Amino acid sequence: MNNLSIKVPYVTRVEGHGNIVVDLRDGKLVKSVLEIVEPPRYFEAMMKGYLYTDAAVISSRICGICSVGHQMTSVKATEAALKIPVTDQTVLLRKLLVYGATMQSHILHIFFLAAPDFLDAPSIIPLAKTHPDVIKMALRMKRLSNDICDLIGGRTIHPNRVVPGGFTKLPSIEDIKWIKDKLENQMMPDLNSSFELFKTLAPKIPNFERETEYIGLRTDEEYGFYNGDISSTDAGLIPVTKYREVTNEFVVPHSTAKHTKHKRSSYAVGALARLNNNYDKLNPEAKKIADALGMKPIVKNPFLNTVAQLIETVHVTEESLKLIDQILTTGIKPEEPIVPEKLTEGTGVGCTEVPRGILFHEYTFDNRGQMVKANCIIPTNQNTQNIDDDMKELVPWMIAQGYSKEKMTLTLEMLVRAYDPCISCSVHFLDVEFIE
Amino acid sequence: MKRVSIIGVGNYNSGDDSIGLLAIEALQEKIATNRDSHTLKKEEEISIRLYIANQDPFLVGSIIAGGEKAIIVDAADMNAPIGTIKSFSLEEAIPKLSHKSTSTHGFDLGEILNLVKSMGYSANVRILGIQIDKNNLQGPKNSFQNELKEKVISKILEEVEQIA
Repeated sequence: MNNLSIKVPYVTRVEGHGNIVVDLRDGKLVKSVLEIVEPPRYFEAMMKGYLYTDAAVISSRICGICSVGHQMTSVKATEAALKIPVTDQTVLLRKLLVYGATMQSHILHIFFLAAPDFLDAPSIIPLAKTHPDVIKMALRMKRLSNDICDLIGGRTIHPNRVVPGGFTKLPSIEDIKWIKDKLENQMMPDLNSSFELFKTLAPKIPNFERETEYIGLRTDEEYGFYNGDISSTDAGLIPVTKYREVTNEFVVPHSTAKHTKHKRSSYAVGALARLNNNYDKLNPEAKKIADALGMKPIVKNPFLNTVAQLIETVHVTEESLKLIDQILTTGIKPEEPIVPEKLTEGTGVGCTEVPRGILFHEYTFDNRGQMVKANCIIPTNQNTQNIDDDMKELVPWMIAQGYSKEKMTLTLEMLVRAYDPCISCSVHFLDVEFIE
Repeated sequence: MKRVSIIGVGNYNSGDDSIGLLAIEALQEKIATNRDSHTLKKEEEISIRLYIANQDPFLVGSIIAGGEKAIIVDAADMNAPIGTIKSFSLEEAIPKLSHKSTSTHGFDLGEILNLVKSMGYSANVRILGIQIDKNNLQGPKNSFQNELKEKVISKILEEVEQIA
């Protein structure tokens, strides 16, 4: 095949709008990119002038899917900037909320967005007839993960109890016991069934590999989600305060989302990147599943990000049960959010792993606690250049495999979906100056 | 005992789009203050479970796919006088849903209802549309005043008796 033109306007089953464009002329790949075509969102500019207590409320609106991730990263940036301490109980409950949100998002992607690709369906709707038990199971798991966010955070989407310094309302011990019961007796069996299902789907996953740099949080204590250092498979550990040395944002003509690069032309973040950096920290059941599915680092097949999400869902379920046992031992102490005694100027970086990868928020406040400057670097931003680089190698690989144009188009869509991109989150410009 | 779930969907911050949620709150209040209100038929109790789903179509889907009979209460634009209430089957409602709002990763209420329809749950679901003031879709103010509140509660309870 010497000439090929593929244009997929608005890739489906992803959040937001992106186009796949491939142009092969006389055997030469002229263009192979994911165009991000959504308008910029200007959230960093929007937060300017608002009080430190408003930052998480506003920034969590960047996304309805990763609202917990933005909220958590935001309060951590605010606390770092204004030196607001948090209690051990707050950290414990925040982690439980982060794990609930991770389940919530991963289940959505695995079953509702990616699964149709592996089950030869154009969307999830036909699967309701062919695989009703899988759909029921997926809805059941989604509902439980939503309920966890609701019980800990106060809402399923955009939870409202998480504030700088703590929680405005704490869950009851009965709520925690209910979550434990559901995780043990419903989620774990459902995840085991999901694992059995995925074993049968493995042949549907393209056997494509490409070397790249994988970046995610890592800490000695646990699989990096809530805290740690930036970990790179190329460069080792880097403190989160030096995140700009890693992200190195740049602009490309075909995308309203900025791209990033570190040691190579691009790097990957997300479930596969976390797994490649944290495999040794997986909980026992998750590790068993990872090994059975052949997911030992460094896994270089981007299509396996969805499999990594399943492994992580098992891991966070096990981790949540550990946290719950801790809570049930110590009980829940009544605590008010910690308020700074005196406001002083300050800059701080917040970093957490959200479902799609590592997320950074950096804020500067003045001595009245008003936002002076904000910077948010979103996982999908960090993945877009890596997707472009994957596509540059995937197209010749598919031609060599003798794929039809139709199969190539579907495989390119599957590649983009495998990253679980959140395109609306990714479109933001940093250096906006308003002339007043 | 027969069981029916009543699910409000909408957005508290979007004026009249909050009406489905406010209907559930009003019903909750009525049930809480009148111990007998959940006993809808003398000969047989019907247990009512109330849900505020906000903009989460997956909650709606998981309730119905759990085999529960359900009534979904939502704000609607049916080109009718404000406050008009109409009851729809899934088959009637799905083509009328705009597929333009309430999107989480491309999933809106219409798609989730389509999914549960494909799973064969149509007979378990009714949808109550309440005609709203379509010029009032911003801020907390809404048209859910006392007269409409009573009318909506009465219509929901009527539907509960039929579907149970």
